[in-house]
Amino acid sequence: MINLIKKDILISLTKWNTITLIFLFIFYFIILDGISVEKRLILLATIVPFFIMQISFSYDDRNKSIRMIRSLPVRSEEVIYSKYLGLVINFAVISLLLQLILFILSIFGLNIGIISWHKLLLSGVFIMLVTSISFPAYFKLSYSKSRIFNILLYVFVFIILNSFFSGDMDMLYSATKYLDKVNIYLILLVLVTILIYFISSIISINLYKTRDL
Amino acid sequence: MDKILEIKNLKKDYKKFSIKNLSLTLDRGYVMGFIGPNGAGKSTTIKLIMNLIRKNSGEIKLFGLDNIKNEREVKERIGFVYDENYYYEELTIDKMKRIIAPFYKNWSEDTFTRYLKDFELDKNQKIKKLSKGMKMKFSLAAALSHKAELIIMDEPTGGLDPVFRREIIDILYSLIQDENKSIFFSTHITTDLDKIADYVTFINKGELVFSKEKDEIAESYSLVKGGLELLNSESKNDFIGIKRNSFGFEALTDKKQELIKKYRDKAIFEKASLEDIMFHTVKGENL
Amino acid sequence: MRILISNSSDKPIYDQIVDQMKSLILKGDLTEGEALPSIRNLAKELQISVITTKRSYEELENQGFIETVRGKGSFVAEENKELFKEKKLKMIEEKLEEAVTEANALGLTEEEVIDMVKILFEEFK
Repeated sequence: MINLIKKDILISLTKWNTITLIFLFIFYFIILDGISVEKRLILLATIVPFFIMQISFSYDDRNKSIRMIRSLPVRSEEVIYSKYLGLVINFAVISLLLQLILFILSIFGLNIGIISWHKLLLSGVFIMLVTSISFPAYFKLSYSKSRIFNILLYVFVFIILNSFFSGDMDMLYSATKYLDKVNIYLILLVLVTILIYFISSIISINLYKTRDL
Repeated sequence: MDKILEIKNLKKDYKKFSIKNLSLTLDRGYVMGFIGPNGAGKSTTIKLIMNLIRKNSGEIKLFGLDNIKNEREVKERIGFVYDENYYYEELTIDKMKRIIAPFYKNWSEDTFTRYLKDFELDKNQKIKKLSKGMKMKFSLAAALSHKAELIIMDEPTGGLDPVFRREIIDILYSLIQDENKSIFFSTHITTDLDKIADYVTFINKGELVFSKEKDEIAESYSLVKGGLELLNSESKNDFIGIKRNSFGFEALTDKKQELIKKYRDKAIFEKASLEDIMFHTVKGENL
Repeated sequence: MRILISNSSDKPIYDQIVDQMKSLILKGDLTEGEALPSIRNLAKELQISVITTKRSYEELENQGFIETVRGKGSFVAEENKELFKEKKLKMIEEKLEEAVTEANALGLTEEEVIDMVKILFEEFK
């Protein structure tokens, strides 16, 4: 299964894809100039794993490479677990990388900013909840068909994320106040999210098994 | 006898097509040709063996193990070679190998390198830049580099020139010098099988027509050519897929010895190639 | 060792192999105890099915021309060549006996019969 996760990273982060990614985010940063650096970095940490997953899904679908994957000694459950775990691992790795880069830059006197760990955690929770809905759609329908559903989902997510960070929508802002420090609510939220994520993976497995490739 | 592949009463239903009650056996150390016209169900059968699609009923055993319950162990020991390229086109051969190799316990880097050399493949070449034949050779190299005991080939030589196809047959011959290995070769280009196949399974419209030793087929099947006067309501049962022209008819029979005695000099008997058998059987069903 | 297969012949391939191997052995091109190619190797070289070569070796073994040892391969059988030769000698003896009896009945002398044999041998040279 780890091999599958490695595979997804290997094929998503090709030369061209990485360059495109970098350009997209420089572009994005210029647009979001009014928002704090911290918030922009969190968005980065959130969207890159998504990006990697999407690319791997589209590759699998495009030239039916899923057939090659399924000829390998791999159980169908592993294909699904690898995507779920992959997302979380990618997010964790990218967050750590960002923190590391910021830390190194601060040593050289370049204080761009810091990302608070617990905000990162909240973002992670958020991604996991959204993915819990979008992944089963992909596993049931295939990439091209589930795209419409997922695009709508992402638009919705984008709006929420932006409002979350702009502080305009009082409701969300006050809700997150409860989660401002490491307390029982936060821990509970994380545990519930993990549970939902796991249940989503089980649903995905069952939907996937009924599919003819 | 060690059965490397065993299919029993396999059924798969689609809206417009079904695999009906397919059964076949392949012993270790032999080559089985899997023939049939386009749309007969060859690819579907292979997808069922690989568990890419779900069967409705029946049993598929590989190395004596169930193909679904023991999916992983079974796939460790099988090498698949396809008609189309299902690899990631953007990657180089080397990168693609680095993705595939870790999945196999018995991956042999030396074997793979040796095959690349024999096939004259550059490991730094991008897959999309390879010709169809070279892509197929790469598939074969990958399939043969993890000590696979069963090689399953799904129309591997379609679109390849005859010179190249012969090279592939030579490679396969070298492979089965090891009597522990078997090959399951699905194709509609039957000339490839006229030489190397030990057994031939013929399916048409999802049903098994026969599964026999190739020699046995050569002995019982024959082309029959004769004058139109030989055809009457009674004699029609002797022939399969009668093809008439202004000067006579050509048909297939599976009762060669019997008919030679019956018609003697009145008809010409010729060796039936697998292609002849396929043509007349399919034609016969359309009448 | 020369074995040639005709795909267009009416004779089944395994039969062609049996015949050709037999004459190689009888002529002495294959000597007693000599190792034969494995059935798989032969199939590869002749580009035919392994079952065909297997069958031809089985047939040759049934007729006593070769011996197959598990794990080692097939070899030209030792005794059989002598047996076969013996049989042939016996047949020649019988035919000669017939000829001599007839010659005697006709009143031919020994020299006349030997002359006839000499002329016949000339035709083989």
